[in-house]
Amino acid sequence: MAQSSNNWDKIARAIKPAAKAVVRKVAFDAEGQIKAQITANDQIDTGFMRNSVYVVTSEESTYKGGENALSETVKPSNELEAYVAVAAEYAAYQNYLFQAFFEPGMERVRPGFNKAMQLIKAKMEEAANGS
Amino acid sequence: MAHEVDAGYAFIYATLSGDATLSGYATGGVHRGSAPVGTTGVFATIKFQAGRDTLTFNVVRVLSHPLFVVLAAGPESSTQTIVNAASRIDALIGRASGTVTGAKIDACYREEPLQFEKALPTGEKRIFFGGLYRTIIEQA
Repeated sequence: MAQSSNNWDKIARAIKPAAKAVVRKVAFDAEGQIKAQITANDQIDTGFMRNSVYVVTSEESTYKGGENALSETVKPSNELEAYVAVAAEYAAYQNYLFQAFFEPGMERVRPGFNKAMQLIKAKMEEAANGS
Repeated sequence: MAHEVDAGYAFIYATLSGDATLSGYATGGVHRGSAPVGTTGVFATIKFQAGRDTLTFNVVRVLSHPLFVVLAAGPESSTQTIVNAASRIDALIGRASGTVTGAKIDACYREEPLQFEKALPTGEKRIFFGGLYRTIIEQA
């Protein structure tokens, strides 16, 4: 009698931790890139806005608060989401009315995110093929 | 041959400034970049925010994806008119495509809504409604 086997169970269990790690890394990379863009734009007076860029994942937050800070954003509902935010209440004017720093920072991490997810996909395909 | 960001500006500006309904709401005009100092009433602004390119494997650029922040703004007393202007902007460029000199606008769509307000040194409050509009542009 012919028998066959596959690694679908192992693959399914491995996807989530890998994707979670990618999401977390990209979120912290984005925090760094946004801060770097604020510096590059010379949008620093007291440094509060730059230091108020933070990350919230389902397990952690780098929110610092402060007198001119908006309240912390809610935690993501699952571990495959992360939020990158700026707490300084005047950050929106700086970003949308004067000089953008948030979206340029986010755009710079997008290729890394896509590449990492493609790598996971390639590894899954390798595992599925038994190689 | 056009620069894709300039083509995006040209497409959005032409679409918004050519609309009579929006002109009725945004009596302060449509502006590329910031509105001039002294602009009164409700107005609209278009500003480049960020972008990325799509390249082939051997780095030939096939598409560009500039992101624009498009806002309707004005005094707090005109909030409903500002909302009407922002809604009209969305009707015009929320799901649009077209051509400009030197480029083809494959798509223009809203990626994120925006709303915020700002206290002016005069004590007045300025209200902003709008969104981040993603364009997908190829050189003609």
